[in-house]
Amino acid sequence: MCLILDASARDQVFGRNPTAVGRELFDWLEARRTRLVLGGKLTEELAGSDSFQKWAETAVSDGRVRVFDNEQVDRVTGVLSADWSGESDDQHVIALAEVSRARILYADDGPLQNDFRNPELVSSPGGKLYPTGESRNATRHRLRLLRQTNLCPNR
Amino acid sequence: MNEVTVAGFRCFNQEQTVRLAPITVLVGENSTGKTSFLALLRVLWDVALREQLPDFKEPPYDLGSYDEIAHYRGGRGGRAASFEAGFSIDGSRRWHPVYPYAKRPPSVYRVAFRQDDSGVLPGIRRVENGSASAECRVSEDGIVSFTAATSNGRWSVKFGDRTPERRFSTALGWEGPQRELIAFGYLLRLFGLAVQTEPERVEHADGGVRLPDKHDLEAIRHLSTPIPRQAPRPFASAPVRSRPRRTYDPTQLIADPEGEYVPMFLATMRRKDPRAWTALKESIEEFGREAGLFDEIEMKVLGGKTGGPFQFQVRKLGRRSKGPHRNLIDMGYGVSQVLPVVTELLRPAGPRMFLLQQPEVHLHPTAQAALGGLFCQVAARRRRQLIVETHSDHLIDRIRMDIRDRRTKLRPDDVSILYFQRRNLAVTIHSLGWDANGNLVAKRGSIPDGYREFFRTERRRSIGL
Repeated sequence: MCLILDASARDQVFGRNPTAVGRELFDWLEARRTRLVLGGKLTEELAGSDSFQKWAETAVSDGRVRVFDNEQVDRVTGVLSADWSGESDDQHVIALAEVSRARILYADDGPLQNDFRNPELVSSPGGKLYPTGESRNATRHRLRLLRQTNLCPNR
Repeated sequence: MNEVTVAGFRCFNQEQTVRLAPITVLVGENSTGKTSFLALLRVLWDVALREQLPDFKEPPYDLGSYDEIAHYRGGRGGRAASFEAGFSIDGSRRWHPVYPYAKRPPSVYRVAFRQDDSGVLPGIRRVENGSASAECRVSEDGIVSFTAATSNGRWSVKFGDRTPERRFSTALGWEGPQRELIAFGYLLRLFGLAVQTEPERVEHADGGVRLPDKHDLEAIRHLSTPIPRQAPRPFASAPVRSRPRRTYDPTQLIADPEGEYVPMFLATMRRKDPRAWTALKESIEEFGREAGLFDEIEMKVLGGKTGGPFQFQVRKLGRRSKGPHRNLIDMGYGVSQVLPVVTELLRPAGPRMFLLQQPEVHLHPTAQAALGGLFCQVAARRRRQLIVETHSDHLIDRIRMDIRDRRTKLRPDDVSILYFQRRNLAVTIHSLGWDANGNLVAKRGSIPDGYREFFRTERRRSIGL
């Protein structure tokens, strides 16, 4: 699967004290079972963390991150901003989903989560949230997402 | 060269075919066969295109004797009795009877090497172009079995079993190991002659009845090499290059992989062809500035005599003053180490193919990255093919970024990354590349798990994860 990591959840994965789910995601990224997509303003936001920046330097070279054209993401962000009906101010995240076709979001930001699940903003297929709970159900759900290769851009 | 195939050679067991591009980067841990791969490319060039005997010990390579060269399978498998290699090369633009106007298919060369008292010899040579092919086998008693085929049939003739041909061979010096390399072009003509004058010698290898007609003969005749024999050999650099000297005494100009000849070459060019020297000097200085190594290069002739001893000087400009000229030997080691490679890449009428072993040695990351930029420039503007064995992330990353940011005319397909991965006694070569956004992509299958494993582990540890 391909996943968008919002800056709000960045430290849960790449912080000094990652959460158990963040740690699990990190291991999956390392094992190439999932891939992070980057592009546009979100790249800058994530790069605010030294840990992330250092990890991404290597991850780009060895194919653990899929980078999309910044200009294209910025262009779509501009189009979305012109007629924005979402709750959050994260048009750049929705734009990245549109460009990359990644449909899973790991975020710790309620309005963005609502926007990502809004079929008027993210569709064909619709956006899904990465479950951050530690229950057995949430784990099962994450594993199910991991197997859904159709959520990954076909590139 | 577009593709290279190798089997049973050094650490490469199973047959594998890898893609070469205008820039091909060889990466992987030590002792995974990267240098052997470079040595093989030069041997293939010599055998297939220049019809020379293979020399696996010619500097900068030394692969040893047959026992060190043929793959060792271990246990009862023992040593491979022969090893094969080959490559494909774009067709020439010469007129061709089958493809007069359309794009010609690439020529494919294959050579099976075998052991002989005199070393490693090419036992079987084969060339294909579209539907036409020819194969040459030389038996131990010197008889050449030549087989040619087109879409209309397959025919074979034996040469060297008749007295006049033997005399002819002797006169041309094709005795001993050299007979293995009777020129393909000559055999192709002999075959045509045999069809026309001695058709009884021509056997139908596939049980057919008709002899090759003039169209078949034309197609077979055009199998000869698409590269002129006088084309310069690939430039093969050694990983450790010459020690600079304070003063150079002009001597005979003999090229060597360590680049000992380069100051002498530059001094000769300065004296004999000032216009070419000025252009080359500017190009080298442009690289020097980009790499942060130097701003100017100059030759100081001692005693005021043309052709006398000289010193190679470089100058780094300060912000306000120009700074002194300094002898090459007084500069950091990186300058003298990179100079031979940069000179060969930029000089006029240089080789078209470069086999470079760790060109980044002794260079600061700034200069390593600049070297990556220079490779893009040389491959794109001067249409050179560079096969580069490297451990430098900075060099590779600059190539990746220059292509992604369109700072070069090279496209992502113009770069091939060959990752050499050891598994037990054998090495697998993975063909990787980049997409237009600079993302790593596997050209076949998926990105191998072990790729950059070390960097990943170290980075993870470095950031405390």
